[in-house]
Amino acid sequence: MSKAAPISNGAPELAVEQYLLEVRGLSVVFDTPDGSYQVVDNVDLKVRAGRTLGLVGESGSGKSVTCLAALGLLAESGRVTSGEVWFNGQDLLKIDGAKLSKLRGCEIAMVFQDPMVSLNPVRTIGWQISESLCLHQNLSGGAERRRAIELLDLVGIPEPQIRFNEYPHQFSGGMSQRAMIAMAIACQPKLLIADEPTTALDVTIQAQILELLSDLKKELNMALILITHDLGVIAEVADDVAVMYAGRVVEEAPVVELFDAPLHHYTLGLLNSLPRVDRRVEHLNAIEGTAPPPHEFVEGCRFAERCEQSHDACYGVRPKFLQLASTRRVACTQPVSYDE
Amino acid sequence: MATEPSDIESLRLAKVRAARGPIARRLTAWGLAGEWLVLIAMTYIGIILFLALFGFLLQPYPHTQTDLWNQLQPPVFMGGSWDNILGTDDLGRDVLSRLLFGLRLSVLIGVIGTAIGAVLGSFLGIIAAHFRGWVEEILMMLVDVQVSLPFIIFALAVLAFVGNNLTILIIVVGIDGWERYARLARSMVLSANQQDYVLAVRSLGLGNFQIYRRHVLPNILGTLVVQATINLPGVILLESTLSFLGLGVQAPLTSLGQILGVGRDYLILAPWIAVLPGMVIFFLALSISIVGDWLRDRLDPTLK
Amino acid sequence: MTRYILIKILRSLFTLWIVVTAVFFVLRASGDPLYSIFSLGTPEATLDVFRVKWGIDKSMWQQYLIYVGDIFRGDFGTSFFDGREAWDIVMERLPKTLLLGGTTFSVSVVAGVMLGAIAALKRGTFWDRGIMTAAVASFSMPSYFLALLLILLFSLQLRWLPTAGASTWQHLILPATTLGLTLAGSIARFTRSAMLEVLRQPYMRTARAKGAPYWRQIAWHALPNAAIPTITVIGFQLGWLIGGSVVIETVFAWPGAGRLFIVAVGVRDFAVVQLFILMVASTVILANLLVDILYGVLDPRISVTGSKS
Ligand SMILES: Nc1ncnc2c1ncn2[C@@H]1O[C@H](COP(=O)(O)OP(=O)(O)O)[C@@H](O)[C@H]1O
Ligand SMILES: [Mg+2]
Repeated sequence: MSKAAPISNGAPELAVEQYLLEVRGLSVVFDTPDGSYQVVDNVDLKVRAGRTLGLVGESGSGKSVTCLAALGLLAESGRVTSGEVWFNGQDLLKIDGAKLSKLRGCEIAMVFQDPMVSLNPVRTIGWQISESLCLHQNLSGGAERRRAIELLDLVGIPEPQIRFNEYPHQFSGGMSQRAMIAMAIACQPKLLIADEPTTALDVTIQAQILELLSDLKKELNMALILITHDLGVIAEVADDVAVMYAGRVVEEAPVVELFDAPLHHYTLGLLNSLPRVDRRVEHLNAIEGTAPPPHEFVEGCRFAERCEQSHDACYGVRPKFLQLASTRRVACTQPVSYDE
Repeated sequence: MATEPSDIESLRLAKVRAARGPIARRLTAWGLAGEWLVLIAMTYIGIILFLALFGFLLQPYPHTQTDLWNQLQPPVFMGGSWDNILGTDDLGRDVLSRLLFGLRLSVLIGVIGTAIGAVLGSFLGIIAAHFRGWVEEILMMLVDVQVSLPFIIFALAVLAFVGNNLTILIIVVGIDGWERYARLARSMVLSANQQDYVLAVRSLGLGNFQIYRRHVLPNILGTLVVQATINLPGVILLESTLSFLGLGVQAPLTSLGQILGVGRDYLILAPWIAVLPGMVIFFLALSISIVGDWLRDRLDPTLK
Repeated sequence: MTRYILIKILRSLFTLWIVVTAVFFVLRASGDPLYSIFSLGTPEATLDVFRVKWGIDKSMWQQYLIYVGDIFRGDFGTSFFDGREAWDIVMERLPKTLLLGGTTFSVSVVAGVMLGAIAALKRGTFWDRGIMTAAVASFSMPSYFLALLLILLFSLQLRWLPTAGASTWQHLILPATTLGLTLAGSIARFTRSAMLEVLRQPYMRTARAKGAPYWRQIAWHALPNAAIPTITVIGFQLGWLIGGSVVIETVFAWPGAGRLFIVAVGVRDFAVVQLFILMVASTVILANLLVDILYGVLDPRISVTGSKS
């Protein structure tokens, strides 16, 4: 029901190929000892080649799980119950394991949320980067090593020759993040998914990592999905934005439009809780209440409980997407209005 | 996923309510529904405990009564007579009677031995954690010493040299495993002492003894009991091994291991003498292990 | 790292010294050994001759100092029974014990690690349940009872294998199987839990995300990490193996040092018992030391900080 049919809306016709990655109606269920929870509910995402999609939402809204599911990297307890993930004309959820392995790390790479534990503690950084190369490219041992050192240099790790032989525990958080990025871009992927690459780093390093990502993006001409709960990061890096709340996408927009005129009350709430120079806000208002955990997910609008504008229509039925332009839509029965 | 304990609890209660029938409901409440192996193991342990406690009422003959005209008689299921249901041994003693008596002693030694080890080890561990410094150093050194010598070798040497009676045997068997409790208790008390509530009651001026009794011990008791359950089969096996080798329980007393040791010489003529007590011990150790693992998974998954 | 190892070595030596001392005094607490060797009514004068000869006429402390001094000179005393050097008596038996222990150890480590890894990788399946049930059963089984059952089946019924002795390789099969089953069972259990722990670490997901094939994820990423805790446990199992072999050598009349120990204990042969215990403790302590060092080699996190927090 939420499947967006861009054609029907009078918007310019868009061929499927225009997107590098298109996630359609993806749902994920986790089976835990206490029951099964659907933590991702019919999510659609579109990423155009060479562009950056910012995926934003409070922690626990299902951002990581969506991306992991798309790459077939879910934990054992998780399963995809519906959906398609189109990349380069193939559905990643349907192709066989060997083909998927060839794509992963080569065409699509991912940088995980917690770099410190995402690196293998008993292997050197160099080994781990070389492995990415070895898996997808035919290089000689020496060339592999040179390339790996080049990569370390590229992501701004000082003294790469020395760092090559060091182990993850000898790396700081920021350096681990850089190493993870080096590993991910080793084969010049077309799409890089960076899951909260700046969380848990201090502010100066955050800025450096973001800069690094945008530089690399330009240099390698790759598309980027940037997962974050920080709208400030989105404002800096993203071209398009998808806002997630409680396992669903609630709003999609080009970044400028999103910041200028958010349509979903949740997005508005998020923006209002952000300190800004261009908009005079008397005081910062955090949204009241907390996001529901998966076992309290309802069918109707999941934000209704916290929404000041909620009314009867918000409950019981899933709010339909209102398609405003090919890249602009919102799942709200009564979006924020801007007729002054 | 950080599900609140209360959620888990309410879910469990919901499952309990959904279960049909009083027995099913009780089983579900205890997390036993569908755990057939655990249920069988528990039943077996129950029967063994019953026999250990009241077996003497069922004992057809005194366990020492010999009957030299009636040696090595096979059990009923191997064509023997109903006079000696499980047959007789080399001296014509009734195997069933000896099994019942031996079982009693094996269980007794196992349980008391385990209790000694648990209390001794936990006590030392708590002391070490409380005083820290050189007291702790000495304890850890003792642990090293204990670990460096396979316990059965130590036990054999002590029993052979120092002499052997039931009390010494129980004490020796009881020492086995003390270092595991000591380590466990030490590390748990160390972390408990860092907890806010302990710091809080301490600042209220509650005495050390009171703090340990009321606030620390109740928190670590569960883990220690689980550890004891896991150790119990080892203690039972240790006693049976010592007795099998002739250095454990001495005649006229008898234990399962000792009966087996005698039966070993009649393996061809009268295999039942050895096989029956062996089976009893094996299934007992197995059942306790199964229940211990289940308890651990249920109460304290952090224990290895 | 060197400092760390040095401290470990010193600590080990200290531990060994305590073991030696404790054993010396515990054994001596049993009273005059001569009364259990000579028949009642042997004239005291004769006994005194032997007391002087064996050096047990002196005070306990003097004896202790002499004993320790002798150890440093490589003299481990003489057997009260056949008057030979204790060292010679034990050394004569050692090769057989090493043969049995070495075979058992290597076979069960390989089998245990493999089975444990399979159980972890096939978690929740028939394989997992089968292997784990067998593992629990294997260490609930009294080893001497298993030995008797195997003898009953393979020697007495089927007549395939000999019951006792050590003259051919067939003699090795039953004792090694008996000892090895229990060992393999507990190693399998530890390997499984170590492996499960590793498999749910985020770096395993990284390996998958890189596009590493399944076997590569297991062999190059999971196993080296799982090996670290498993090695420690296997090291600790060595002590268990030695204890177990004392029992098993006795059941199968395997002419090794373990059986010698049981006999020596029975006749209260001080020198032999003390030497045996000294050797066992040294072996176990040495094994633990090696495990520590190996740990440092396998786990790069240790070499820098000196010890793992
Ligand atoms: N392995 C798992 N097992 C069970 N639940 C999970 C698992 N991983 C994630 N979840 C649940 O899925 C939801 C979404 O998680 P996630 O995608 O990590 O959120 P975020 O938006 O912060 O990245 C959360 O409620 C989380 O508890
Ligand atoms: Mg996340």
